[in-house]
Amino acid sequence: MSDLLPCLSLPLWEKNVVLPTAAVAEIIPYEETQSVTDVPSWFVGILTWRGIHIPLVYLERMDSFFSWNGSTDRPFKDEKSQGYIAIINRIKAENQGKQKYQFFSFVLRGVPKLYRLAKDGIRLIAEKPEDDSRYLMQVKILNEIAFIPDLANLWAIIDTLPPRLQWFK
Amino acid sequence: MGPYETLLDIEQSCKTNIVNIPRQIVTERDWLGIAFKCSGFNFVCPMADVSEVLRWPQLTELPSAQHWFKGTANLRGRILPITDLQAYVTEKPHHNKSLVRVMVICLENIYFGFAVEQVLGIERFFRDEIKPVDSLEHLQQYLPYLEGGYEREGKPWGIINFHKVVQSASFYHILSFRTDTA
Amino acid sequence: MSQNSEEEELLKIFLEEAKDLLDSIALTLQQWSTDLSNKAYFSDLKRDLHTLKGGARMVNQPNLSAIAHELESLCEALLSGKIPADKSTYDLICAGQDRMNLFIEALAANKERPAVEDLVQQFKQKVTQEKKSPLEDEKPESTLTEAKKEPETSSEKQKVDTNDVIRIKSELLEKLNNLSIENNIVRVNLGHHLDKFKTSLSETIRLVKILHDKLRTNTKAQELRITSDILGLVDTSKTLSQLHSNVESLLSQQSRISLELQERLIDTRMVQFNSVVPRLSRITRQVASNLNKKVDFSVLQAEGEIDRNILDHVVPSLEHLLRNALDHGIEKPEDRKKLNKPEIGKINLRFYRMGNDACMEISDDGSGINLEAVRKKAIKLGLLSQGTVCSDEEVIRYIFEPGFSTRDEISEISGRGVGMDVVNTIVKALGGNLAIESHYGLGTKFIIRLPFTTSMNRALLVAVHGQIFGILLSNVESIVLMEVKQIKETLNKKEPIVYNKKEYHLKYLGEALGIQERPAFSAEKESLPVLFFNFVDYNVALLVDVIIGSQEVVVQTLGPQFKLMDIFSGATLLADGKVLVILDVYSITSRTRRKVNEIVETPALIKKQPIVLVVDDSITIRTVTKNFLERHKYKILTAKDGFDALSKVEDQIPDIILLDVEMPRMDGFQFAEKIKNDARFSQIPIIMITFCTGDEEKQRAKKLGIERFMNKPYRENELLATIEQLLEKK
Repeated sequence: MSDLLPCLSLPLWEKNVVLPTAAVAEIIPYEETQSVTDVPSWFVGILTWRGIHIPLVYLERMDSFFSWNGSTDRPFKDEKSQGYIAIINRIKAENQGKQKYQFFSFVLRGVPKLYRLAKDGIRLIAEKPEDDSRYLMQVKILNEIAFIPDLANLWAIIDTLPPRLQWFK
Repeated sequence: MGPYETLLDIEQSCKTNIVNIPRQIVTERDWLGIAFKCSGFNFVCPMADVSEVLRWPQLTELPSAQHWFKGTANLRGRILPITDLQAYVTEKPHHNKSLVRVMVICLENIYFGFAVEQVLGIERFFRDEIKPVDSLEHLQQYLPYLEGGYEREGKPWGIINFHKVVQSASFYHILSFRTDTA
Repeated sequence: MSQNSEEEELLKIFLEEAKDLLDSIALTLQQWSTDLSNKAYFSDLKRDLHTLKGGARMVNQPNLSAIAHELESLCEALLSGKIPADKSTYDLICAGQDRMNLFIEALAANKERPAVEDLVQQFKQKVTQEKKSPLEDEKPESTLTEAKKEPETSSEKQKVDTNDVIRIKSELLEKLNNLSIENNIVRVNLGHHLDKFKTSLSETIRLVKILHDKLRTNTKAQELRITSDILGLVDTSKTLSQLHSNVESLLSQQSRISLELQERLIDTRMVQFNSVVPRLSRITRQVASNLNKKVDFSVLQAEGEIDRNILDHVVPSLEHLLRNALDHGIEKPEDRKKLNKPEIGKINLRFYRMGNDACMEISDDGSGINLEAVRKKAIKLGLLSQGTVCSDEEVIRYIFEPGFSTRDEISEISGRGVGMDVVNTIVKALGGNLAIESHYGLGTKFIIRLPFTTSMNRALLVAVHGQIFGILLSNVESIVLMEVKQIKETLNKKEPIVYNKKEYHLKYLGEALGIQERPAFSAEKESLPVLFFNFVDYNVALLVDVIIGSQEVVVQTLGPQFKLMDIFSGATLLADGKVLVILDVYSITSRTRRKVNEIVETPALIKKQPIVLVVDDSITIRTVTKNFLERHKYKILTAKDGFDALSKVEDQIPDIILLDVEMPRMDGFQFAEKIKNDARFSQIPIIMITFCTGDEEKQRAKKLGIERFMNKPYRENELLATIEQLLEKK
């Protein structure tokens, strides 16, 4: 009936990422996570959320073309007072083995904005912007520029992580 | 596929994937609330009412203002009045130094700023968990402004309706003295 | 012929809608002509005709509505198969369409409308035929050719406007205006920055010169050839200086252009004040006759222009003041006779410009305001304590308190909706002030003074105890430096100052704002600045600590949280981003100040207006209903059919729904069914309003749980009463 699609604009450091609210399980304030050694540079730590363990990442660094030389620098110093974490549902995938994570999370710079979009409320600017495989499209929502992430691709990268049991060695 | 269809598509794929998650989360287009702390208690208010959350802005104070009226701030060219929620509701001045966030509340296109201790994030709502207002005695002074409450992980939460706050009579008596039409 | 502006507005809307409908009908007819047996077209036609009929009734065009009605019947007969869908029927309908087109054109041009009887008769005859061979039409050839022409030209049919007048959406004009204001703010900021830049630049040049002088004779410097570098610096700073000059003069040019742009845009917003006179005079006549009072409404002076926005906002207040004068002011003819007053009361309207302000006066020769009654009521309401000494001017202003009325019941005529307190608030919000002069037994005069346009203003920046405030320069009569000695004497003796043959009360701004009782008199300062204000009913000299300066500002409203704080008339943003609060000197100084320990309960201030959702496919009907309900303080949402309505309901749940039946995509019954079967919305009362009033429909509505069923055209009072009834039940 109502064809207004509720979406969230999630602020990263230099970009905003937009997803339908159905894709976002929850948003929580930033918290310290259990860090692990020998991990890709985009991996922050393990987040314990509602009793389960899920990976916490920096979306900005999940660029398969460009790695930050394993730097563990946080993009900003005092995350505790500023950041949030978005927890994302898994999209339906063909091979969903039990060992795979059902959620992943990434760090946000600030509080997301809620939009209720009509079809003409969102405009395409570019497909596969900047040749970046993380994003499907660059769009404009009202006056804001945002990126629609390629969740399939992101999940493929997350799935390269060892299944959870191995973390706690 | 245009951008709108792409988002719809993502929405569909998330919904059809019913996963066993720890708590039952209502995934239909439902209630999202902004969670925050005030007087040490946890509250949520409808996300639609919150336009943005600010770090403590530069304020212009008002002469002879009530202790709960903090002043006005410049929000990108718009003048925003800022009310200390805790001080207003409890009617007592407090020295809570941890007032660092201002929630910009937008009601019927009018903007109000409310200073709170901490903004916790976004909560999804469980409609069947909502308890009526009278069961929340510990939230005492906040009761006239609440729609209901619920409990999560042993902690009580109140659902605040900011309409009720801005409709209360004393909200408009910003100054501590009256001139005859104030 | 003076039509009132509302009816004209309505007609305009109807004409636009009618044009669209006729276009749509023409298109359907053209499509139908290629496929005569296709019944789908009949329903489309029927629906458009139905809507047109409704609109025609609303704007009082019975002939047009009759022809639409008969055509509609024809379509029904086609749908039911009663008459054949053949060329003669087609021709007949086209003839009807032509006539309607002519009619609408004539209506728009305010010319004589064509007759319709002949066609109406033909249509009626046609419908009563049953599958007989079609009769010869009166003008078969011409209708056919005209019909063929119509579809092509209708889409190209443009209204050729006379003169070089263009229609612009007022929204666009508002936007332009706002952009221009923003532009001016940026320009002012630019000016500030340029000044700061100049200062830094001068300082730099000065330092470079010093450096140069010091190093000129220094041997080490000569060795290192620093001097040539310094000379380079001197050169560069000269260039910078020159550049600064250029920028300054460019900015000055731009200033001129921006200001002129602003002024031209403001011009587009100007309307003649006397445009409201017909409406006000009509209201006066109506209300006077309802109250059985005899009144002569005369306009003493109404020449001049005022900003359209301001006028729109202040008209309800003027109406209220008029109703008030008629209800509470002018006495009944018998009573007037007893008082030796002429039987016919007088109400006068006067409009004039005073400086930057527009003034509106409404005066009557009625009973005047009973100050004793006002005083008593104020004490009763706890606004005034028994013993307080109050001047007459102060007492009279209590009638602006919310909830104040010296009659025990608020009379229907003047009371509901716009009270005296609201008038005062509106006037304040517009940046003006409301004054009253009244003599018991003789009459009352209300004077509204408003800035005649909302645009740039110059504000004086003053400080008290380090806190900075703004005061609009346009209100200040003069600024004088008074000797401290004289100030102290005057404050102690509490005597008025005489200046320019007028008496002024001296007031210290710090005391009025509750900051400090007296200025901090320091040994160095021999005099302090005093600002002189002339208000309509009294004069004041305002003492401040220091005048910091003045600058151009754009005044913004502080918002509803400040609505009771009448001492602040607005605010503006300074170059450093801080908020500067603008004081309403009249409010601050004209009354006594009391410390408040308890808050007197005032009635709910942002009252949540009940939300009414009006669902109807006719824009004319939506507009009429919306205007009428908004006047009665309802908030209105509109939807043009069932689908639209469903989406509106999801977004914002209305308190009650007014529902038409005949609508495209999803009709009233289908919509009602959906609503009543949805737990979220089933509690919303529905009033079904329709032309179809058969028992079948009523039964169906009842079965669905629709609360009320009303006929179109509805009677306003009836609709209001029904809405109130249903809302009360909730």
